[in-house]
Amino acid sequence: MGKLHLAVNERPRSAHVQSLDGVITLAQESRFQITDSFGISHQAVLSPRAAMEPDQLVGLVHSGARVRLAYQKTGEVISLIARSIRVLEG
Amino acid sequence: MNALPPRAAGHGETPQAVGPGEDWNGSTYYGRQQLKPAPFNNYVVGGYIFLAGICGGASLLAGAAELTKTPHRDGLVRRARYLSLLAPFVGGAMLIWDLHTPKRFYMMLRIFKPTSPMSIGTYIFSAFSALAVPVAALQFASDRFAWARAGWLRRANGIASVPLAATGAGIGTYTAALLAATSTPLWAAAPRALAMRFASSSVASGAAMLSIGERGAINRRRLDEITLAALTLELGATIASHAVYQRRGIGEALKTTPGIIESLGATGAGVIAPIALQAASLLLTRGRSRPLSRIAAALTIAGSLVLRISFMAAGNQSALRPDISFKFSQPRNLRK
Amino acid sequence: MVHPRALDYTASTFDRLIPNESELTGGVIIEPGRSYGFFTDTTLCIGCKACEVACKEWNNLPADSVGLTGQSYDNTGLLSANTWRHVAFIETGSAGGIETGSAGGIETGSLGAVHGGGTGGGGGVRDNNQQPYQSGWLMMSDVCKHCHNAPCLEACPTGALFRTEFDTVVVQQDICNGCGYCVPACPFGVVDVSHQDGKAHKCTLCYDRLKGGLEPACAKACPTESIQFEEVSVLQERARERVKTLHGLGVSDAYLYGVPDAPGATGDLGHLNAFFLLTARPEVYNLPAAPTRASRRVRPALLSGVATMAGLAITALAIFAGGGKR
Repeated sequence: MGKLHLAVNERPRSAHVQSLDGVITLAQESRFQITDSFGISHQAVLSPRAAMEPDQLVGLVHSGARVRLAYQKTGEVISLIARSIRVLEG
Repeated sequence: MNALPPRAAGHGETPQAVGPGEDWNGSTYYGRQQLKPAPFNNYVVGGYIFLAGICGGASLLAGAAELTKTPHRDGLVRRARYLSLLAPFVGGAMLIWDLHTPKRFYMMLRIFKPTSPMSIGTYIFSAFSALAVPVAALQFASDRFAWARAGWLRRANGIASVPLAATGAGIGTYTAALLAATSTPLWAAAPRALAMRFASSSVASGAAMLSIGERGAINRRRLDEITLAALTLELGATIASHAVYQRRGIGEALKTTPGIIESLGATGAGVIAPIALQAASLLLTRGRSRPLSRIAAALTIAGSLVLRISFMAAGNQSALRPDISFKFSQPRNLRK
Repeated sequence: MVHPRALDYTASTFDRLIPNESELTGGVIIEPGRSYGFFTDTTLCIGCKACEVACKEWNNLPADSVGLTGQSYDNTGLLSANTWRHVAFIETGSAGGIETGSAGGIETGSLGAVHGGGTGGGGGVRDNNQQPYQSGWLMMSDVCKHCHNAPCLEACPTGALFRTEFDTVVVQQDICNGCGYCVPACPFGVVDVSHQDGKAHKCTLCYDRLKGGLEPACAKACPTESIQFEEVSVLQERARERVKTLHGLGVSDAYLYGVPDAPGATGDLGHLNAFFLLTARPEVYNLPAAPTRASRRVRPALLSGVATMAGLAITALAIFAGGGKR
């Protein structure tokens, strides 16, 4: 919790893009939840600059495909800002 | 509307200072905003409104010059036609840039909604662009190539200048309706006076822009006279709108930093000063003083830009401050 | 009062929706073509924020404005793109009255924050002699009003904002391009554009749940029936009865905000599908007393602008046609 607080209250230190592998387990409009290989779920929001439309998230929930999420963090909300979602083969 | 129910006695001994039946005593919810300001970038959208005004004003004047077949109008008309490309290209790019999901800009063309000035404006902008681009292209062709100087082509372009002027009038003024049809107190309080201000500022800046480029003394003098007329009308509308803001209780918005910039910068330096200079130029030198005319024109153009940006910013302040917005939403401001 | 049909569903988990679940939880069967809304009775609100949590959970909304405001128990602050229910807290100080002097309570007039220190009762001592019905506290769960003549919907140039078959106002996320014009259109400061996904957001009155026969999440979660979900006409009738009852109990301040011809439903807004029972002036709850319908200003502004342009065009024609002396 303390760590989360820090992440939110501090302005983003850098806009650098990080990545995360997991399965999209929930989608509501442009907001979704990605569950990583440790079983930890993260809240994420699809950026308008991502080359994907929110409608496509539902398909990824149903397919249960493993995806690689490229994201940035923001100081405004506790959420990952998804810059791209790529389906991993196999 | 029914008044708030009268406050009956008997609800405890302590008087309830802001009970439903009493007048609003100025208290707010922790000073928190009651409205949300528009999420526009004031420089970008204000800049667009300014450009749209210049293009609209210049097209309107070019149309008038074509209709009256004013002698030596060719330079004026040519410059107005090239100038009018600012709105479709630069202005359009600014509008799309300001969207929060720019890749979906075309969604604006999905429907037409007469209750939304942004929807109305989309089509005015489209019509203006659809006319301005071919008219300017034909002008460019006739400037460069002999074949394009055929009489019928030039006549056709002259005829097209009239509908272009009409859409130019639209693009120069719909932006006032865009701001007025909101709940932002300063934008919404005086729709008619605001539209007069924006429309006359558009014509003034368009005329000023053409005056700077004009080489003929006679047409420059004419353009300066038009600038002077438009600026005078703008000053009247400004005074009228400020009176409405005071009457509706939101005069505080004019005392914010952008409000002061609006009064001193846009109106003082951008309207009153050029009126004085233009009047001096026309009366004392019979409009022969080119430097005086140019300084006045530059001030007019700068004033038009400052007006749009500062007015948008002052409006956002009026939305953010509950002491202003609650005054605007008092029942006494409801029109019958 | 458990609905008899509820006895058919005693398991604690289900693998499918209960048909017309709203009948069991809210006593209402949701049918398209009817007008639905919320009646928020602030005299019943206990400030538990279950509505805020239920809304965030169901709609998968990220946490925002994390931190403490120092403004009573209101750490949510305001409705936003990621917060569609907001519980307002007003400490009225001593029994009944909201202190407006310098002693405490809410500072008057200016932009200032609340005073620290005393909460009324004099000398910083809290008065323990309270009237019934939360006279020492005012709490209200604010939400999108789903106006009958919704300014946001009228302003939307893409048609993303639309009126649903349940007479609610919803932003279609696959159409919205984030122009943001609905934000200043709203007279209640509800709609907001998200900087994260670049679209406008507000309460959908749980459009997806209504389609599945479920009561909206906030109303279902409300433990005191402060938030009631029903057909608007039924709610309005129920609310008027409630005001009568409260008046009979001595709460003479109670009135409705957002029913036809009442505060909140002014300026051609018609009525609000989500309306409130309040016991203090609307401003106390951060609500406008007399909001207006923004689209009524389109015509005067356009006509005045066109008239000005026409006048200046005639002036220009006259000047251009003039002799061109010298």
